[in-house]
Amino acid sequence: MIQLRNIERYYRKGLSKSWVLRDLNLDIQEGEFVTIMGPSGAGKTTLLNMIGMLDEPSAGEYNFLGEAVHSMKSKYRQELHKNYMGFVFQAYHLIDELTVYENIETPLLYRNIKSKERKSIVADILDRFNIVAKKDLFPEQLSGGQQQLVGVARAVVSKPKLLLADEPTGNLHSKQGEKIMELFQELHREGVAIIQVTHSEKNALYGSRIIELEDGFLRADKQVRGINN
Amino acid sequence: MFKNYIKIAFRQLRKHKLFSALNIFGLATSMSVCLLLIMIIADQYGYDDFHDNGNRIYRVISASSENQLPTQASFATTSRTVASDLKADYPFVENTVRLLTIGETVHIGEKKFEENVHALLVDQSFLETFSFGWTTGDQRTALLEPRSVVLTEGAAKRFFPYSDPMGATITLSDLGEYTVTGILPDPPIHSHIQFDYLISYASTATFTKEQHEEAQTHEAYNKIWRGMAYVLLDENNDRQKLDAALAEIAATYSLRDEKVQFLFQAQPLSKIMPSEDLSNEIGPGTPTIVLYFLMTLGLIIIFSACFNYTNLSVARSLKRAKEIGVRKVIGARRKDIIFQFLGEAVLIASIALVVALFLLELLIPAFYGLDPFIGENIHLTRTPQLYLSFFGFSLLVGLFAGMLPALNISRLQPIQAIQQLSNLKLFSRMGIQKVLITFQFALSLIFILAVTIILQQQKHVLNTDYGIRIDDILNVRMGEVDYDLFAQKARQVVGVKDISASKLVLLVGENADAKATFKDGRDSMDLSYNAVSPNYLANMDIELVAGKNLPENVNSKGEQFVLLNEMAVKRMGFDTPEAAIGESITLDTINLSIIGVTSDFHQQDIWFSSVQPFALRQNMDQKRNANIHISEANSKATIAAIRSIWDEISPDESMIAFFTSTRVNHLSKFFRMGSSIIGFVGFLTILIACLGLLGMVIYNIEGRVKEVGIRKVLGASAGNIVWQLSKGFFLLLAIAIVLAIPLTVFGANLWLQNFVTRIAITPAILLVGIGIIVLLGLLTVISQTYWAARTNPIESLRNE
Repeated sequence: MIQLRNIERYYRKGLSKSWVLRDLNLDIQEGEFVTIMGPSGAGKTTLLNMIGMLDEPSAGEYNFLGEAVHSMKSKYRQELHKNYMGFVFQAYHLIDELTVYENIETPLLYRNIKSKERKSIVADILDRFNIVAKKDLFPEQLSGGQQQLVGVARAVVSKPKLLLADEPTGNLHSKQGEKIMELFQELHREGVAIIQVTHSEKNALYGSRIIELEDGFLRADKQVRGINN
Repeated sequence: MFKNYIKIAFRQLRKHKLFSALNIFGLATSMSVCLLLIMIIADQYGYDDFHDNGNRIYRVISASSENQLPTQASFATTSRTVASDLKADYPFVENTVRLLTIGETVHIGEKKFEENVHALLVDQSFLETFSFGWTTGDQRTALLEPRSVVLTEGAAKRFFPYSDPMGATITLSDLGEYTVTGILPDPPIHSHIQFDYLISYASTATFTKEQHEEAQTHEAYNKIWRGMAYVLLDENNDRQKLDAALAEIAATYSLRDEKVQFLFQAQPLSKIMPSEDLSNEIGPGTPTIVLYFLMTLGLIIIFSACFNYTNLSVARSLKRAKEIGVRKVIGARRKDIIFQFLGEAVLIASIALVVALFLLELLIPAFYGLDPFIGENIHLTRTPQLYLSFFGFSLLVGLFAGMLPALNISRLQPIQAIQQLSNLKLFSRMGIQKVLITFQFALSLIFILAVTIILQQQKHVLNTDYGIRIDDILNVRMGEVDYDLFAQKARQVVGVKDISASKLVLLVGENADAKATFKDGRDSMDLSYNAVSPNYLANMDIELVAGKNLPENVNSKGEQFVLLNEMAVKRMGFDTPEAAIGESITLDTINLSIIGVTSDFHQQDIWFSSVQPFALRQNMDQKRNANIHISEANSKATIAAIRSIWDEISPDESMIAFFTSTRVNHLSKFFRMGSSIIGFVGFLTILIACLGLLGMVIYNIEGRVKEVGIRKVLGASAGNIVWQLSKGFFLLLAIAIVLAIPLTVFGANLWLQNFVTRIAITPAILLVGIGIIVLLGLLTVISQTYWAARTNPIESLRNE
């Protein structure tokens, strides 16, 4: 699904370049559950955003489902992003002014899905995530774990092929974290590809593959047989 | 989707009450003024649109000159022979209407009607060309015969409350008897042609000289100052043909009259109102320039309020960056974000519209209250279309106000918004806000200064020494009444100090001039004059500088002597007034001896005209006005007594009288009106600017709470903090002042050029304006920064 070739990402600071990613080559297949690990500043989030098409490489090639993202017009890239990807953030990033229901519904609105269909999709998700009772609450009325649950629900409501998660459990208690990871595993089993960034060895074990970054270089790439797999 | 936007917009409104309140209040106040303006414009442009053939009707307007012919017509009137020539020689002219206004007292039996009896002398074609409607009688023949009159329904009710007016007779004081042949509805308010009754034009043939001077001149091709001519073109409505025809007629007339050149132009009916500045206009006159002036003011305040919205939205956009970032990540396109933000702005504008509609109802009576003149010329009407245009206006305002924030914030890259909020640079350090706030304050200052300068100039002009008495002079038009008889009786009245006779009343726009030839014979000029009785000087408080006054008795030799003012004597080349005494001067053909020289005095209005050379001639048979100097005390009783003397002498005509001072101060009424309108708009501008500043300061402080906390922990005093937080805004105020002052001085000087006597723009005037604006700005800023500086730093730092 994803092919990265000789990817580089740097920021210009005066005359010198400040490197974030260097000479990165990576292939990810459909349905894989990949964990990106590494110390702070290794470039994990940058890589994730780049795959998620929120950031662009300074050099190198990026092919997504056989299409050359690096030479694509930004409008088309946005469409690709919209049609295939879902995002989960460490800080949840729910829209404060919207209820749980509306937060989950919003991605469908931007995809011009009809009202009736929208209702049934959102109802399904609420049901599946066990948050029907919370649907009229605002984010500030929820605990962190519940908010992240809504965050995941919002990310998968549009049935993405790829779920990108940046430290999804970083702000959660371990119990809450476990629940989110189990959810990820379930989605993985249904065929959704997942790429997560985490510091947690334990969370990494939920996945099928671990990539380690250090100072922008790919240091390791190994298959795992983790929990429940 | 749309529902979602509205929902979010409402929640935003509720959540950010300060933001919403500042915006809605600012927008609503300025909107209400704009709504009033829309009403005024709708009123002024809504004239004459009820005529079925309106698009084929034109009015002939004209100009004439002995020298260079102007390119634009200056008279709304024209020679009425143009109408007959058009109809006779040009087949594409379907019909023409000749129209003359007359003012007559109407007598019906014993009853006399003097008020609201505006009459028009019109052709029968008037009834066919225009669409005033018809009530009773035969519309096709009502105005064919001489001595026919058609009444409006209103006039019919007033003249004949108890009997059938058809076939009845009405008598006009000068023009004789007329038979009522028809009745039509009252003309709509929005018609530039207004009348109470119509007299058949054919009647003019029966007028004698004693009855009406029009009898002599109404068919003269070269008299363009009195009547109107309207033209109805055929179905082809070929305006160019009409223009060509009028040019041809003008050329013919110019050849016929050796001295004078003529210009005739066609003016479409729809262009008559609002009026271009034409003389002899018959409709109500709110000149286009006044409308443009009001529109400019309206635009200024609505822009100012829109800028506030933009400003506050920009200030708040940092807070909303996260939301926008998230929306983009979950699939929003830029378009979606733009729609959302525009939607919010439109919603706020719509709420503001509702508030504005309430304010409008308060504003309308206040507007009418400015001057009775307004009620006479402007008839605000509320129609569904009007409210539709209000809604359209608020939509535009919302779009305009929301555009900049929408375009800007939608450009945000989601990754920036979500991850690097702290160093997000939206709007390059709030540059736009600074520019807008500076602009608003510059504008406020300009308004303050404009009002000050207008009021100072007005005061200055009103304090001018006229050199002639204007207070307590009651001028009575003599008409057919014998002056000497009237004066002799009026002198008996307690409270009458003196009475003099004059041909003209000075300072109210009346003028007469004669060609003055001096001793040399080669030197001549047009010299303005008044013909007066000898006691005029004393009565009008004009000083005699040299020589003697005019003699009391005019002997059989006729006019012999003349008084000149100092300026005239200087113009003739005499070094001193004394040197001119006994010298001769020829006025037109009459050779006169200069008997005395008076001090200079104003003759025309004091606003736009200066003192000119002037002659006071002996009053032969031109005692048209009695200038009665009455004492201020009990003036009402005095006037009543004078009126009863008049009624005794002339029971048929009522007395026409006016105070010079009232007429002279007429212009100052317009100044007061102008300055109250500008003052009101200025007040709004300042209010809006302060609201905007307030909002900006509050948001700015919100963003710097942590900094303030740290500074306080490090030992900064409240004073330090206030200064730290405020200094940026003071700089903006200073820039606003630097921008506004030269603009104001330039504009004001341009305006003051119009006046003969004018104030100088002193630093004192400017300083007062600057003082006001600085004080308001300081109060706004410091009220907030002081509060921030007083809070306990623990409060602000704990939250981190």
